[in-house]
Amino acid sequence: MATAEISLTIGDPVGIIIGILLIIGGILILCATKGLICNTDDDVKYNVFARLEILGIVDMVGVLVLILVGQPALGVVYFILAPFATHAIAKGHFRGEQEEQ
Amino acid sequence: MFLTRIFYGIEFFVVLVVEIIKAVFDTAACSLKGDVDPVVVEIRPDLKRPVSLAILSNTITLTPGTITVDMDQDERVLTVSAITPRATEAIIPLEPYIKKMLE
Repeated sequence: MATAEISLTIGDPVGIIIGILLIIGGILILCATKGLICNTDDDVKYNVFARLEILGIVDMVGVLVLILVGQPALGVVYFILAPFATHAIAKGHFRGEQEEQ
Repeated sequence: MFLTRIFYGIEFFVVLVVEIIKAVFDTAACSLKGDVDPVVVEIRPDLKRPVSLAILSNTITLTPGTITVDMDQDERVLTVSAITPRATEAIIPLEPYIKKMLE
């Protein structure tokens, strides 16, 4: 007599969690995109800094994605180096184009 | 003493991650609503060592919504920009943890 074996497979929970996190990251990137597109008025004082602050979201999502795809070492490097790039751009603009101090 | 500092470092990192997550969602909400009103302020944190100032600068920049624009190590003054006006305590929430960790 053949026995019918019912195999109820629940999806890989780790994969589901990773998928959810990636979707959240994508939504955050879209939010940042709107922020960047809607803040292009050069007459607004310190607008460059506002855009840099919004880009911080992209940096953090980048770190998260690197960790999720199995490159945690790259994620750590990105985490440490990202603020230095932001510092350089901000200070260059502050003392260059902004001509303050 | 050294082991205590390691624990403080772990605590600092955990709090940093929590602050970053909160800041990400706050800044995303600001972007969606269009409430962007960037300001630049000078703050004088109560930290003595240059390495403490450097780490504080990095934590400010790592949290979306605030960046460190300039740093004067002699006078220990940080020029910080925030995406919306906010109190100094909201810009440098990690200062006491850095203080415990390094000073």
